[in-house]
Amino acid sequence: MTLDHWALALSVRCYSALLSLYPVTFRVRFRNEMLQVFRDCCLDELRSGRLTPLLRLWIRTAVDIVLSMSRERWRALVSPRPLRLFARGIVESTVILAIIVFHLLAGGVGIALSLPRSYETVRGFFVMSAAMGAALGGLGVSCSLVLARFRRIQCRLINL
Amino acid sequence: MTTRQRPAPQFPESFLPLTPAVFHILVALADGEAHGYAIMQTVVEKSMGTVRMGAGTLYGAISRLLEEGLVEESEERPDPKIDDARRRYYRLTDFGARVLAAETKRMADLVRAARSTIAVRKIKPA
Repeated sequence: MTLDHWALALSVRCYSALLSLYPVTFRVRFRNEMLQVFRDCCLDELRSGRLTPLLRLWIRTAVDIVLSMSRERWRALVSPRPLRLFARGIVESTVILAIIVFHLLAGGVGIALSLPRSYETVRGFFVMSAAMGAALGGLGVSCSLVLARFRRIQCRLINL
Repeated sequence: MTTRQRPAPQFPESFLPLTPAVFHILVALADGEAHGYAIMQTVVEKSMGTVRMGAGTLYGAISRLLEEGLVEESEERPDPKIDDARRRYYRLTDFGARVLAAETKRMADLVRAARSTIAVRKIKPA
């Protein structure tokens, strides 16, 4: 496998994972087309040069993903939905958020307690618990992004 | 958000002014149907390289245009020998063409108004 093939395959894989950031309805409808367009762009850049044009494409793509993903998330949030579905969405989001926060805090407290060090102040203990909770949360988000790559997005229970 | 098409409203003026991305996409589709990558290439070509939109911006705009009934998906698929049969092609609707014409007229009127000012007339084009 040449360097160009390797760079192309890696770029498409990374872009495919990043598409998980878009709302699910948008993804279901446009994911394949976006992947194909990005692949065509990569091929174009690799034909015109080697890796430098591809890096420039990635910088443009990163900005595009941040802007368009925020726009689509906002659209999905404010799009008119039946009141029943809207209320269900709010309840589900609140419950899921509460469960996640509880488990992260519990995990953070557990790790902070099990660390072989003594806390001179209560504040120090809480700071360490919160830091451990945040670290667990970051790990969870990273794992879910990796897992999302291998799961059928139509079957997801929680839409990130 | 859904891509289901809804009946187009009667007044093209209600869509004005168009965003730059939407205007460029409509211009790219004005000469015939095209798939996403061809639209991107046409936009770069017609804007002389000044406008480059990413796939997210392109398909976000296409999603809105489909919803508003300004563009529609073409049922025809390309010959697999010539092009990838998985590509989806888009084309301008009659209403989309009317919106594009209205926006073009609005911009032409603005340019005419700007050219009639003393400040602009004093500057010779490069």
